[in-house]
Amino acid sequence: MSHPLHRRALAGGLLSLGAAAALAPIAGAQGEPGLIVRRESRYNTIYIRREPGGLISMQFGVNERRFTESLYNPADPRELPVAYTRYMTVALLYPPRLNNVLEIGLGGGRTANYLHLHMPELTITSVELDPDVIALARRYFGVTPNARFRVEEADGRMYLRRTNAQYDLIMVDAYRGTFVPFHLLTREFFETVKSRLAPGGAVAQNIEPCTMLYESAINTLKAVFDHVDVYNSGGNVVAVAYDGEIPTQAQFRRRARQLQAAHNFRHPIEPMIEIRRIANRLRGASVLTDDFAPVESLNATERHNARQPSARGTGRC
Amino acid sequence: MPTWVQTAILAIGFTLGVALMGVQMATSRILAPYFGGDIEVWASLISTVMLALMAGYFIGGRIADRFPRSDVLGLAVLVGGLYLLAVPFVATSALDAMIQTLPPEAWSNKWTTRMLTLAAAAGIMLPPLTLLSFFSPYAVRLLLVDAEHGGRVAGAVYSITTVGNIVGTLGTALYLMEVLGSRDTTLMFAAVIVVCGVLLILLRSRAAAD
Repeated sequence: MSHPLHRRALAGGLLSLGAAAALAPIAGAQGEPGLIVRRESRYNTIYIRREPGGLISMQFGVNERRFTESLYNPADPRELPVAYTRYMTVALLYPPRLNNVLEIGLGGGRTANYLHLHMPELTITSVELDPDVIALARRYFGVTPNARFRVEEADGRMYLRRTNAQYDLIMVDAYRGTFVPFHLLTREFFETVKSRLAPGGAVAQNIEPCTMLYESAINTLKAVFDHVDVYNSGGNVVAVAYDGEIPTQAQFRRRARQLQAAHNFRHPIEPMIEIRRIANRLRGASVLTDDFAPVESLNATERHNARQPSARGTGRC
Repeated sequence: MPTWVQTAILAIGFTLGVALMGVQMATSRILAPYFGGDIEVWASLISTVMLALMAGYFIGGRIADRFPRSDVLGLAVLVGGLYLLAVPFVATSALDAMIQTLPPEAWSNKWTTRMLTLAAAAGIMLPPLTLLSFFSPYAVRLLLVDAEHGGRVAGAVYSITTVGNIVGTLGTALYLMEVLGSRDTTLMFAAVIVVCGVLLILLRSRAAAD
C-alpha cells in the first residue's frame, strides 16, 4: 500500500508537467479510457491506468472513490512526479550513515526504486502487505527486486517485530486511500520502529494533512522521538522524526551537496530543506496508542470542521 | 416462576449478548498490533466466536438438563467474566512472549501466522465465550413451562440475546472503542459479565417446569 493523492492534486501535477500534447487515451478493460488493469486483491481494488501525458498511475478504490497511490513515468524512471515522494528523500540527510533502509508500504515503489537507482550500494527492503500490489509494481512500475532492493510481502509492523536488522532510515508510507491501518500509527508501533533504528537513524512518515488525524500523528511521533521536522510538500506532509541534536540548515546544505555529488539525484535535496519546519506538540490532540486510537473518527473529521480552524499551514485541504 | 424472574433472566440474556460481541470487537484491537487487522484476522475472530457458541450451546444444554438451576449457570458466567478480567493484563505479555520465542523464520510462513492468529483469538475468547454461551440453552430450560410453549420460549431467548449482539457490535465499534479504548472496553464488559453471573447465582431460581 502506498500514499493517497486526491484527484485534484493529480490534475495539478499533470498540468505542471506541461502535458499539453496528451496521448490519446487507451481504451482498457471495462471500457474506462486509459484503464490498463483492474484487479481485486485481498485488500484492495487496484486500478492501473495510463494517464494523459504518458504517466502510469496506480489507484486504489476505497468507498466509491479512487485514490492515486503512485505515479510513474516510463520515459523517465528517475522522475518522481508526486511532490511528497520527492520530499521523502529529504530524510536521507538525517542519518550519519546510509547502508540499510526500510520502507513500509511499497505501492508503486516510487521512492524505494528512486533510492535504489541513485544509490545502488544501499540495501533497501520494502515491506508490502498486498501481493497483488507487488506484482503490479513489478509489471508496470519498473520495480525489479534484487539483492540490494528486496521486496517482502508482510504486514509492516509484524515485519519490524520479527527482524533483528538495524536500519539507518525507516520510511512509513502505508495507505489505503486516505486510511492508514491504526496499528501503524500508534506510540507502540513507533517504539518498535525506534528499536530497529541504527544510532542516529531517523523515521520518515507520509501524513495526509487534511484530517484531525494529522495532529495526533505528529504528537505520537513527538511522544517517541526528541524532534519532528515537517515538510509540507503542498499535498501530503512528510514528517521526519529523530533523536539527538537538531541539525542546522547549514549542516543540511552541506550534507545535501555531499549526497548530490555522490549520487547525482534527479531531484536534488538541497532546495527541499527550505520548507523544513520543526514541529511542536500540537495542543488538543491525543497521542495514539494500541489501547486508544480512535483513527476512524479522527480520520473522518475534516480539518475545517474542527473546533479551532487550523492556521497551522499544513497543506492544501 | 414469577414474571419478574423471567424478565430478569431475559434482561441478563440481552446484557450477555451485548458483552459477547463487545469482547469480540475489543479483541480485534488487541490482536491487530501482532497480526494486522485484515480479513484473515477477522475470519479468525468470527470463527472463534462461532466455535465458542457451538461448544457453549452443546455443553450448556447438557449441563442445564443435569442441573436446571440458575446458580449453576451463574457460576459458569462468573468464571467467564473473571477470565476476561485477566485478559488485558495477560494477553499482551503472552503475545509478546510468543513472538520472542518463535524463530523469525516461523513468521515468513503464511500458514504459521494464520494458525497463530487463530490460536491467539482462541486463547483470549474461547474459554470465556464458551461459558457465556451456556446461557441460551440454559435459559430455555429454566423458562420452559411446557412443551406447548417451547417454541416461543426458545424464540424469545435467542432473539433477545441476538438483539444484544447487535447492540454490542455497533455500540462497541462506533462508540466504546472511541471513548474507552480496547483495554477499558474489555474490562468493562468483563465486569458486566461478572455482575450477570452473580445475579444469576442470587436468583437461585429452579426450572419453571420442575
